[in-house]
Amino acid sequence: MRIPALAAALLLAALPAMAQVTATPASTGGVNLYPQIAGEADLRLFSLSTTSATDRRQRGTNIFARGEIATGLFLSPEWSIQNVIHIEPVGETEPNGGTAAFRYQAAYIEELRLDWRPTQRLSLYGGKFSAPFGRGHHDFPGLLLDVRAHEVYLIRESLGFGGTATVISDARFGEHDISAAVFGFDTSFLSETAFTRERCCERDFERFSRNTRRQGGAGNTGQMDSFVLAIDGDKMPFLPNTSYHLSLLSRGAGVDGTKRETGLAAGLRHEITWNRDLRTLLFAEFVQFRGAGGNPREAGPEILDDFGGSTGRFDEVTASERRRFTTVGAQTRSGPWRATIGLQRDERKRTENPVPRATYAEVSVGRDLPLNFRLDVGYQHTVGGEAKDDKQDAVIAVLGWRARF
Amino acid sequence: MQRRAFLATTFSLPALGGAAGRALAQGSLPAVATFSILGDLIRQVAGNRALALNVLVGPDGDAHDFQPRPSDAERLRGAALLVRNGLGFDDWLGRLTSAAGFAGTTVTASDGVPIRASEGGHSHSHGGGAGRRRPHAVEPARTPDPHAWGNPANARIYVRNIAAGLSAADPASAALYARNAAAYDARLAALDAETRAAFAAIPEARRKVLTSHDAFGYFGDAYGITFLAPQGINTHSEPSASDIADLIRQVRAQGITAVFVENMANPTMLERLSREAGVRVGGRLYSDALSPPGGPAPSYEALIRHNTGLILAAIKGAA
Repeated sequence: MRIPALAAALLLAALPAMAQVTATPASTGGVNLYPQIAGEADLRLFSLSTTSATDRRQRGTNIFARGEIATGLFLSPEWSIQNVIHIEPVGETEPNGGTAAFRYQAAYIEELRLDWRPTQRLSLYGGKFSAPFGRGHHDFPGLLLDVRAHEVYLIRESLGFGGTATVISDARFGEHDISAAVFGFDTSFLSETAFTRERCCERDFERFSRNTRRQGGAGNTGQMDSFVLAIDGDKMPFLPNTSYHLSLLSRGAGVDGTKRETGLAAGLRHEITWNRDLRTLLFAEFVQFRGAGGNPREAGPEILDDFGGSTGRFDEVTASERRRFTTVGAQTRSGPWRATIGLQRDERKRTENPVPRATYAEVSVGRDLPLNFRLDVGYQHTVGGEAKDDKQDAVIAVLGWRARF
Repeated sequence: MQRRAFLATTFSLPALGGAAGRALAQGSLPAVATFSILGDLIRQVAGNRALALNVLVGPDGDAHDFQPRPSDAERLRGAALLVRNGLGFDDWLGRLTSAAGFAGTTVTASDGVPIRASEGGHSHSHGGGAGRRRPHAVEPARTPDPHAWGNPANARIYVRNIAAGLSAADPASAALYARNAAAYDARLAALDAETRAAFAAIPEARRKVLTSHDAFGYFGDAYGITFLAPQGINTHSEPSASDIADLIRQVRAQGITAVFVENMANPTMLERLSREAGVRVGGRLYSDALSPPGGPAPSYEALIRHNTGLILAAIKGAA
């Protein structure tokens, strides 16, 4: 489905909402509840000081902001428009021994969708959203665990339809949801980026001023030919304080010669209550992509002249990649205090231009502070990444602030 | 309401299950109430009429977090009348009625009550537990406060709705229900006046109370009392450390001495809060559930009188 057709479909989907709004009294017994706007801002200021690194350009301090501002416009008890503005740096920064602050900061619309919840057990939506693939990108505790999950496997820029239904809600078997979404890659005005607006696709940025078909990649087809199917559950009496997540992803073959990408995510959480004030959350998530990035076309070996000399020209090859991203960790909370330990491993097995495995280990302690602030400080050790023997040590401090309105 | 009750009677009685039909034929009316306060209101309106009443969330039970069991569906299957609160308080009932194939008369007791909006309905989660993944969504900040029975004037509307429902499910006893409802309505009006008079003697600036969860908004609005609560309207929401710190500052700054735990809530958090704020817990209020028989609040009227007495004593004691 092309974007104009999608826009028309969304408009049609919105019509019952408008009808509902006009049919539903704006007040209940004298109190006006609808329409209403509610929201939440969750912002974090990071200070990442790399104290040692094999690549000297990485040493130094990088200060940046990340966060989201989520709002909901509630038209009635069943209908709402949900919006998430995401703030993050969209390019890599090398402090080179000094301090770099707020480089390449950007903001963009991560979600803008119409939600319909006709019953407690069913929710349907249409618009722009992040597909229900994996969950750690939204709620891993710690310093950078959720940030890395967000970068690696959050399926954002999805334009289409989806829904979640609670299919089992039973005292014997627990509560289990099935979620599904069908979507295409957003190249509409909703993909505009604010503050840092790089032209596609001249430099190595995570996003450009606006998504285009030209930048290629899995799912960037102009069609709604990507989908996710997910199962989530908890409240199982035979597995108390445990929840799980399983999801499958398939993204359409790109028009630039990339192929269809498939993904699998599996997550598990278990909470141990030691006493009323002391709890430990164990969490693990495994994500695998086959044809990661849609088997992108990239520069292969250099073309040599008849005498074996350099020509400066390169063959274009299809780099087939299987990517596995694993997270395990634990967080113990006691009142306002928390301590977190986490390990992440990013393995990329490629047919061309190999990338070494990267392992990230972090430990941190944190505390909730007055006025909705919170502070976490910790240490991260990294092995691999750009080169197999690369090592980095970093001291990280994160000041967070959350507000509701 | 009357039209709804008429339609319910017309269409539901022939469809009632065998158990309901048998119970009705044997003379007792099979009815289900979602929680104990509604159970008491039904008993008051039924009076001497034989009643086979099942209360799903009994005395000292917490209806906010209730997880229906298969046996609850069985109890509902044979009922001729189901009385629920509505306003999101007992939304878990929808799953139960469909599982039970319930075909009797349903009464939403809060129908027609002037609704009070409650602030703080957010539940956008960022981890912190083993709960399952939810779509990224903000919840409405202003939602209907479901604890409408807290104001005796509203309880009178509950009684009218219940009487109409009983009459619809059991038309032969409609006159009895009308008489009982009128008598009970007069007692509730007297209770309202008595409570209003009791609080009128206290300066408004001193009418400030701290409780576990925000269940006393209607009571507070009716009698000019400000209730502070760390938990919001749901007992399953957990206040953050900074929420509690803010509340401690507020308790100290405003000199609040009336601090109470609730019968169906975990008292630990409030006990810690009162310790840190340097105030004494003044006793146990009854908000969402009655006490068992023999306790201080075995009926709705006793509940209001018990709460009023405790709050008055705590406020006056601080004078």
